[in-house]
Amino acid sequence: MENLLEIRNLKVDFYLKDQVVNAVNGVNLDIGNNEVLLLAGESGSGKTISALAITRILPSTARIVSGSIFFEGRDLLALDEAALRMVRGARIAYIFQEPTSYLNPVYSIGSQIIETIMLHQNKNKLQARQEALELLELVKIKDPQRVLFDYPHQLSGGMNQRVFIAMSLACVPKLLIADEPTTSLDVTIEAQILELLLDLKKRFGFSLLFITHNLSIAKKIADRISVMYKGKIVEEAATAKIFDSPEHFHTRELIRAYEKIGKL
Amino acid sequence: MLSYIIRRLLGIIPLLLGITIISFSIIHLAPGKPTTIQQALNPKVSLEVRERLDKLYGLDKPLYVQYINWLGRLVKLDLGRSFGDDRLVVDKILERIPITLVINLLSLFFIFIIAVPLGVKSALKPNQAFDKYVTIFVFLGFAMPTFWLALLLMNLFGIQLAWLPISGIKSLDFEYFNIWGKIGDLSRHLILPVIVSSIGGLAGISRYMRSSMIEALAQPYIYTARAKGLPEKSVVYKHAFRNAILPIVTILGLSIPGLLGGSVIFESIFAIPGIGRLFYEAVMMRDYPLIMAEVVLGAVLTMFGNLIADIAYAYVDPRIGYKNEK
Repeated sequence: MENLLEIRNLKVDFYLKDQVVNAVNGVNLDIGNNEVLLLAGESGSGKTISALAITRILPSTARIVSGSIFFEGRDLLALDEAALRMVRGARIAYIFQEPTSYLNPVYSIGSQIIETIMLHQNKNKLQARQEALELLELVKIKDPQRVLFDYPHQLSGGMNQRVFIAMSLACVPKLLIADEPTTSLDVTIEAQILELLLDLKKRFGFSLLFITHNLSIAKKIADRISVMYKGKIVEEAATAKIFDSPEHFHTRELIRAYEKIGKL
Repeated sequence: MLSYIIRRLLGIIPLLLGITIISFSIIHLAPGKPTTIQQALNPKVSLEVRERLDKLYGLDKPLYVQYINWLGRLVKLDLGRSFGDDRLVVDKILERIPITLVINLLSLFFIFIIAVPLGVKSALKPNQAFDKYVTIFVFLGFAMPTFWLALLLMNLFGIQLAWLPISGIKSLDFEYFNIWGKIGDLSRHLILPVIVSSIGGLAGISRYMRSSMIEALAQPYIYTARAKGLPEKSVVYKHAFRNAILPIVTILGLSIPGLLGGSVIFESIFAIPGIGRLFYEAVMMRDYPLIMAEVVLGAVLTMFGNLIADIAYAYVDPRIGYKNEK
């Protein structure tokens, strides 16, 4: 079966003032249709940069040096900006770590969702607003009619993450990249958001690339786990196998950290 | 919002009292009274005459009595008469306001329509060629003394090239022109003053805009905007710009008092009969009523400027609200 996403030998460097720092060094990653892949690794291991590289929304100092990123049979690295923009937000969507700072503070929730809808779908403002309302209901936001006119600072972190998920799913993407989406939330909210993501995954049928340094989430959601360490994928296997017989020492470290927390 | 505005307006009263007490005292501390200056110009004035003048102006009374008398008149909106020519202070100020206002409004207009795009363009590619040229220009603009720049420009455009008049606001034959001729003549006279009074602000605002824009472009929501698939134009001019312009709005509000403040230096150099020169003359003549009227005008405008800036900020930044202060 052909994978939805196939990353081969991806290399990303940062061009800083007087030096070049390698962040991602030959990453290979496959995600099948409808699959949940958990990308684990310590901070600074290159998880986020790999994820941003998929649609080339990297910081301005970062450059993709080599590799290929096949998505739905096309090499995204070969696409120009204009073609890639049709993929961003429409076929591949992101949710991020701190929803409140990833939403624009000066635009209302409604206008930010409507913007995404109108960008990729042939809808007028009224239809887009109606759809935004339905999306907010879908992510179980109470009083969506009011939230549409609220600003991010008026909502809690958990609410904003729901809003963000609604915005990301607006155009029914095939791949959702979730970069530590629950790290900034408290544990009960984290559970709710994870549950919501799995619910929506069933409903929409997207694949999920879930990035985290917290393996405790893995058992609940992941089909497979890739462990990243110093810019490379060091281990990749089905979730159960990773927990039963971890091979790389960093995998064992991550599992130990998770077990330690469990004992507390 | 309305209750907020009312509270702020009430807050102006004690502040204004403080400002006027301090400036009243300081001016009276300055050596020389208006009567001594009048006497100095005319050695024939006897001490007796001087005392009579003091009495007439109320300068023989203790300072606090003078202040209370002045304040009593101010409450009735009576700014008094100028010691210099006995004309109403209000009239003297009102006739000077239009020209200062026109020059400052034009400067402010040019400062913003030039500095904001300049700052944005610098921010998009910081430390590259364009940004570096702008930086050089900005440092020149900051460092250049206004009077010197004015003289250089007068020499170049007024004398060497003889394109523009070098001083005043009207030609001698102004009255003979038709309406378009008059407008043209005024504009030609205003070009140099407006340029000179814009340079400093231009340098400052473009720097503010640059750093504000660089900061906005590094915010997480910019990644979101790109991840949505928005074209770079929308990312920059919709998502970053709206955030970056917020601090500039404050500066705009704060520059309101400057609109009527006038500049002593360039109004003197270009022989423009504006507020700045009036203030300068009033200080030199120790014309207390006129000085105090201008101080009050400046103080009130500053406080209104702050208030307008705060209100405008609440309008453009949804995070700021004043209703929760009930």
